Amino acid sequence: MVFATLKAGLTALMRNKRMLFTFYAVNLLFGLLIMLPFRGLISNFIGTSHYGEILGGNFDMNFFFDLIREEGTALGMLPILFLAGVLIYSVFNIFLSGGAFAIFANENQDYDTKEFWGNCGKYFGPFLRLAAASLVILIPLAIVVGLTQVLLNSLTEDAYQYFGYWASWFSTGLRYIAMVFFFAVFDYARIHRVLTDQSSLRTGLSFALSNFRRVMTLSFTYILIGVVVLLIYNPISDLLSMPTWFIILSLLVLQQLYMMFRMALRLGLYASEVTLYKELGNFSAEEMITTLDAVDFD
Amino acid sequence: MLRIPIKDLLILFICTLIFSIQINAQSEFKEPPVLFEEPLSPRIANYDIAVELDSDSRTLKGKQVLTWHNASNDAVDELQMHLYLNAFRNNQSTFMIESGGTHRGNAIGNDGWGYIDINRMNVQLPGSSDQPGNLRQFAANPENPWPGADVTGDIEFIHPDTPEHIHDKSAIRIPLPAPLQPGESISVFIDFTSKLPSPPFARTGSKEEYHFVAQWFPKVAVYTEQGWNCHQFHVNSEFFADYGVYNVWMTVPDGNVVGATGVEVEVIDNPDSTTTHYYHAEDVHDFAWTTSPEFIEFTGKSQDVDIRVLMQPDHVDQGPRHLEAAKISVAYFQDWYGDYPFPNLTVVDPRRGAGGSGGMEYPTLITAGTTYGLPEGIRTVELVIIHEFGHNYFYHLLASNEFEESWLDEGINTYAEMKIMNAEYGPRGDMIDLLGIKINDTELQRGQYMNGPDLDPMLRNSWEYYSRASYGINSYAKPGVVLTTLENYLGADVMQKIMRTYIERWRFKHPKTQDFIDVANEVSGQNLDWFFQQAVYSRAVLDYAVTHVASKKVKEPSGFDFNISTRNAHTGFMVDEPADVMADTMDTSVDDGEAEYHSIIKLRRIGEFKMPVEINVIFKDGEVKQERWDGESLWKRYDYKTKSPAVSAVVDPENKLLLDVNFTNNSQSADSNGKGAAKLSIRWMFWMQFLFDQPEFLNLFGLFGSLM
Repeated sequence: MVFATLKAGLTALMRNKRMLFTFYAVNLLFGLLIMLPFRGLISNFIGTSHYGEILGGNFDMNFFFDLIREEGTALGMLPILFLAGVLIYSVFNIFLSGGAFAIFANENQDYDTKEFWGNCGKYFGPFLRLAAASLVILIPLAIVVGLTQVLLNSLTEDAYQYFGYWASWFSTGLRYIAMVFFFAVFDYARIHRVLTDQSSLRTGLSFALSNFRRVMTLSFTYILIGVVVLLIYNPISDLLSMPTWFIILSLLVLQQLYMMFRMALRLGLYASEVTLYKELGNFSAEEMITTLDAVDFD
Repeated sequence: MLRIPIKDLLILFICTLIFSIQINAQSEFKEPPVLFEEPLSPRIANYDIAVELDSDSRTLKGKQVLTWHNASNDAVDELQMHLYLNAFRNNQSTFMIESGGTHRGNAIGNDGWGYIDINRMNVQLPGSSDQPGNLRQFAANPENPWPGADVTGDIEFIHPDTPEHIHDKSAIRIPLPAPLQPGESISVFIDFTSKLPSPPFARTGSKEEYHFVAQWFPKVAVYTEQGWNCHQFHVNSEFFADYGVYNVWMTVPDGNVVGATGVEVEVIDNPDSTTTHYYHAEDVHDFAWTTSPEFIEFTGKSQDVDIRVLMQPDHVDQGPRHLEAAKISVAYFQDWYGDYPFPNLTVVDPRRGAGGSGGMEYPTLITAGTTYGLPEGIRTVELVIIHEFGHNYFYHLLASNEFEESWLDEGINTYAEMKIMNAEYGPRGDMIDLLGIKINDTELQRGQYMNGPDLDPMLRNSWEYYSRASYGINSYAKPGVVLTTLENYLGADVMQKIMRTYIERWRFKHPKTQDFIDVANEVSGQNLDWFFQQAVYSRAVLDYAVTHVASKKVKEPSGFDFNISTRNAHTGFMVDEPADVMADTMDTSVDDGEAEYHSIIKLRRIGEFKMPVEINVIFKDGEVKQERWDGESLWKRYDYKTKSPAVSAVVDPENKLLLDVNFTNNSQSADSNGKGAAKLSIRWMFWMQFLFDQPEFLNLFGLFGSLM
């Protein structure tokens, strides 16, 4: 079942390359927006120093400490900027997901610009409300994770360190699973909304819980693919250390290819989730609407 | 020169002999071995201690005979001693007031206070008719007569550094019944009880079955030319003590493994389910020990030194790693800095939850510290072992006063550690080499120094630094950076010779800062006072910068008064003045030939620290002109008349002046080069794009935090 949905997801993705570029473009736009102040800070600090050349190669810790000493206050703003970026980016993604889910929910799953953007707008409001409501799910998840952490801490308080070591991995894994589960519930709630025009976080939660193994396997398959490719990317990017414009440009291209791949994984996951929900979701054919019916494009 | 009259040596010998004979008579303890036929040090403070550990209550009951020799020219009318464990007696001690209750991130538990009480103290002056006692008699029957005069009631707590800390009990004075004349020795008989803090705090303490026993017995201070040098135990300080011979009998529960300063002479199984371990050490100035039933032992040898590593069960897979680091340490230090005269070294791995006893040095015994799963690429274990073993040179062989001149131990040792780390694991990533991240110890030390390069002069009393951070910077990082800068200035060979000469000349003699400077001046053949005055005694910051690089085409002279124009053969200038007049106004580095460009390079000395610097000026045709500026004036200008324009300049091109707090402004080009900013920016952008899309990956940072 999971393999079939994976295959269906990737097939759908291949038919929606323009959607992929749209998602990637937004990701790139946000990357550029957060890069600009950083670049301004760095460029200004480097000025015409030889570090302009040196840092074109390997990173230099001496430069790092110079930067911290001279520009520490400005650097302190970057985490705030990052958090703001995450928040706004998430809102943009919620906006785009309406179009993506609607396209993937269609029988033919072909990209149509009007349909995509129309559904982005149509579902933005309901999806935002779902997002707000879904925060409620975080409470029990946080309680479960927190209690587990407390239990592990008490069990490993004075135990040999390997217990604590593996407990840390376990609790990290648990937190990660909780987060992935949270995102899955939100995804299926959105899918339910697109398929039935009914907003129900509970349906998404119910579906994710009743199909926990399949839902999580699907999510983690995509995550695993992403991690494997990241592990391949990393050493290659390290090799690109010559301080030449060609190499720097090559690194940029490699990075953006990877990010495009990540966007493909996200959309592939969306498509697979829609397929899975259609297969296993608890809703009648009468409830199901076509997205084309739902939007008046003219 | 020290004078030790035969009469006092005889008394000392008899006391020790009688003590030994009676011990032997009762328990058949072995005679102490002779480690060194000729004493390596002036054996001023000699201790025989029998101590019994109650593991559950973490209490030590001890009997001690201190034989102190007056090597000064003064008649001494009192003794001063340290009771270090009283720093942890309550929250009103000097240590606790200064520390706020924490030390290196550790804190004493709610019922974890420690202390040391002197139950009784007798002193026996030379010529006394009393028979010297022995420790076993005291232990068996407290009613037995003690030799000498009972001075217990005369003990007075002193607060020489911070008189307002009236509740501090970490230092005492004991008036003597009669002055001790120069060259005489005194025996001090002490019954004491110590309770170790828990968990281990500020180097010493207990955690369940693990005990690291340091600063645990009444310890005589150092009598100097200025009198007693006895300080309270401060949070920002280590120790100062005289050398001597130690015989220590440690009684611990059966099955416990013991590691201690010196060499093990004998292990005696007692009928009461305890075991007594007898250790003997010569020419040491402190004695620390550890015991735990859980230690797993690794042994090896490096050159002529036996190495023993005591690992915790959960770190057992890192035993070989610890052993290898210890071997490397011994080999480098002996090769570079001379003989380590002691036969052995013990490395202790602190128990989980006992990190407060980690990363510390005692004579022939050091503690490291690790965590389960520590990647090989994070070389904290190696760094700590190299550092702590290095102390066996600077803290142990030289034994400077760490209360007052901490840099002489921690700082010079940090410099040695930086060099060894780089030599063994460098050149890139000698400290961290993991997942493509490469960081050198030298870089980290410079980074730490830059956190507060001007808070204090490097040299001052340890408790008088602006903050704990300032103590750390000025005792560790800054001296490391200073001496690396000096090495780069003098050359590695000269610096090596300075270090070796300093260590060999001042072994067992408590050198001071000026002694190190004198050696540096002598060996280098230069007067380096200008350097040390700035580096050690001032808080001056070093920062040289290139502030201006510009070239323009030389214009043909025009306008009035140029009716007899000629081109100066030396300067290339069109002049209507004699060449020598013009040359005086030009820099001497002007080129011959047909000059087409006039390049101006300006340098600034931004910091107050003055040091000669090298300058490279790079021209468009690839030519590099090397200059040397004495660095004295506030700025320097170089003018060049050349065929090719100057395109960039760099001051200190090889980053030799590690003290420079800003390397980035050391260079400037006529045109900016955006590669560095571009590379960093795209890397930053990539990871932001990644985390925007996958914020759940931030979870991993929490994992790293919990594992470390």
